[in-house]
Amino acid sequence: MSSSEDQKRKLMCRSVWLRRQRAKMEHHGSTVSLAGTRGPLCHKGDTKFAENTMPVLELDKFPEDILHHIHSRVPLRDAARAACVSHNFLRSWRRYPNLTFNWKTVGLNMNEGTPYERAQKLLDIIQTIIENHSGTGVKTLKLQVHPCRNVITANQLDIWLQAAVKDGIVELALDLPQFYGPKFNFPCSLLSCAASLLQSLSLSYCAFCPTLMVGCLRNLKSVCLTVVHITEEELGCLFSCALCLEKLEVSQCDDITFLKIPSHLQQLHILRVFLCRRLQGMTMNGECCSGIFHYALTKLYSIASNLQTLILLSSKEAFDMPAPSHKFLHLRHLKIYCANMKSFDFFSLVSFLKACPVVENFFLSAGRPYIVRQEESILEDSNSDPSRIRCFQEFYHDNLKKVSISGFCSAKSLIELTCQILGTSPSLQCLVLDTTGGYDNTGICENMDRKAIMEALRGVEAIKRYVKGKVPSSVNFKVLEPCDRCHIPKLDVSMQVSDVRGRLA
Amino acid sequence: MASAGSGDEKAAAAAMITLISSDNEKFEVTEATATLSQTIRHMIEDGCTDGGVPLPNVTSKILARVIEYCKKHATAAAGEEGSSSSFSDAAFLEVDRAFLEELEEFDDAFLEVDRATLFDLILAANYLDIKGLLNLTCQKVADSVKGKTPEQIREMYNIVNDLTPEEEAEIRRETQWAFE
Repeated sequence: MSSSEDQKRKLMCRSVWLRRQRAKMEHHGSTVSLAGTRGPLCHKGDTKFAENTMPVLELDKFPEDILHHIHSRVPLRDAARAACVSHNFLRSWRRYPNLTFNWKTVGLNMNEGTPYERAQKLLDIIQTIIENHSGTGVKTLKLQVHPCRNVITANQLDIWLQAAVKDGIVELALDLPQFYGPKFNFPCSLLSCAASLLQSLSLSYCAFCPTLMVGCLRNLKSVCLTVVHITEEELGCLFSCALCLEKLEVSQCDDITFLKIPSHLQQLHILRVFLCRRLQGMTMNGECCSGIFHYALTKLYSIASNLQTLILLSSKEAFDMPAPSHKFLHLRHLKIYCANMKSFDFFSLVSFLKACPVVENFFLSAGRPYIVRQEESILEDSNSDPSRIRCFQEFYHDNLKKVSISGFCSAKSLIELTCQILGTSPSLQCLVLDTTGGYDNTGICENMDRKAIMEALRGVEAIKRYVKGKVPSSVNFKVLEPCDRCHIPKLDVSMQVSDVRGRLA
Repeated sequence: MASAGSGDEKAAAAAMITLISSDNEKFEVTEATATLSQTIRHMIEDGCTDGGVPLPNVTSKILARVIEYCKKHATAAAGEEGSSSSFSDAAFLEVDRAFLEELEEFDDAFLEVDRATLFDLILAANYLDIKGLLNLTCQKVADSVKGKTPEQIREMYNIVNDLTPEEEAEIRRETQWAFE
């Protein structure tokens, strides 16, 4: 559109415009007059509108709150362009509620300029928007500026937060550049004056030191802290202010040594704690949580008795096979992942089968690679006659149909678990024992190191000796062995591969 | 689900509400349908619905559409309650998904209207305070603005540019990043 046309448009007075509209209505269906002067009018789907009589209202003449409602549903970049339409749109833009800033929302071309230039550009755009924003009506502020390392300053961040975080904000997320941590201290005073509606707070790479002065965060439901400097006392202050917390995620917060979840957080139902390297333990409602397997067997029932599917992952847990406190009478799908377990007694997982009497599918990942110490391996066990294998005969898993164990190795306790399942599951249809490192989603086998391949072969051997003979003919039995093409060639040349193979055959 | 539906109908027979459009047409609806409108819900709570609820801002043509929307979504709400209270099973999830898909299809078809009707629906949804309908219709307009220049938006919606050339130049400078 040429600038002269622009000028014409602006100078056209309202009566002229109305006359034109009326003329247009009289020439029902001939939108040519208007379309002719104004460039392409019709887009797909618009024809229907054009055929119709003129709308009673212009969009611009909607009550201001409706126009704003519409405008706030337009994505950031399109909403910014719409600000140039009229005064009403401009006013609406000044209180645009969803300030989510990242290279995508502002439409940065990632093929243009250096990373530094792009970062600078992103910051300039954020600066302009926040500077011109009225500061009211912001519901969401997300500063996803992690690529802006070395460009963004703590001072700038502080100014933005002070300008945009006001009473009424619902969601606040700071995704700061890595290693920014020590330089930026999240201004907690903001929370005390602007937190009445705040529902979600997500911080990364900064320091967060809430005190009791923060006041009541009565709507705060979700807190996510990633690489945040926060001590357990400060976290305790946050908990005492956020009574309705439903979800808490703490990852890589290395200042925390002990996590205490107080009993007043009645609504907390999602708790994720990742990679807090100095974390030594945690308590929930005053009770010590030694590990997730233990928790699942002893406490979980009290909050989730109707579970149908249960997926557990535990790392380095010393599991002592507690007697299950209750039974999950509806649980049909059970998945257990073990990670970094040392000298783990897999047979103790029988407790879970006892606790889930109607379980149909059971999946176990023994961890990869699970390193079997010599004395754990059934192949090294001189007393490995079948009568020495542990077995409970007093209960049966009448519904168990499919069992799959990955990371299968020669650990005696794993063989015992497998035999236990075979001996007590009359409905078993399918048993898969996977000794490999698994397959990726394209079907290509995962990399395995030499040690893992050796253990896998020992697993195959153990299966042949102690499991195969016990599998009823009605069961579809599958053993996944290391791949001849990818894995076996990794073994030492000096190693008599054919010999190993021969032994296993 | 089927039994829940017939139960609803029984309960509803006892509680019918009459809505009266601006052109004096009367619509009988169940209370469950009517209370999707917060405005009407408050009137029911205040006990001022005897003799019908006059809606002087809504024509019969638009009211018929609004009721169509509310009927569909009221059953959807009843269905949701039913399934969440019952033991949520894979079969139920399947039903829920099918139901949601059906609802989405309904919404899409519902929005196939000319712009004047769409605008009237927005105003009616705002006046009757029907959140779902307001969001649905406003989103339709919002979607139509995506990817458009200010000129195209003015064109589409017959908006007079009331910014002075200086004002427009300034705001264009400020939002220049959005035009690149």
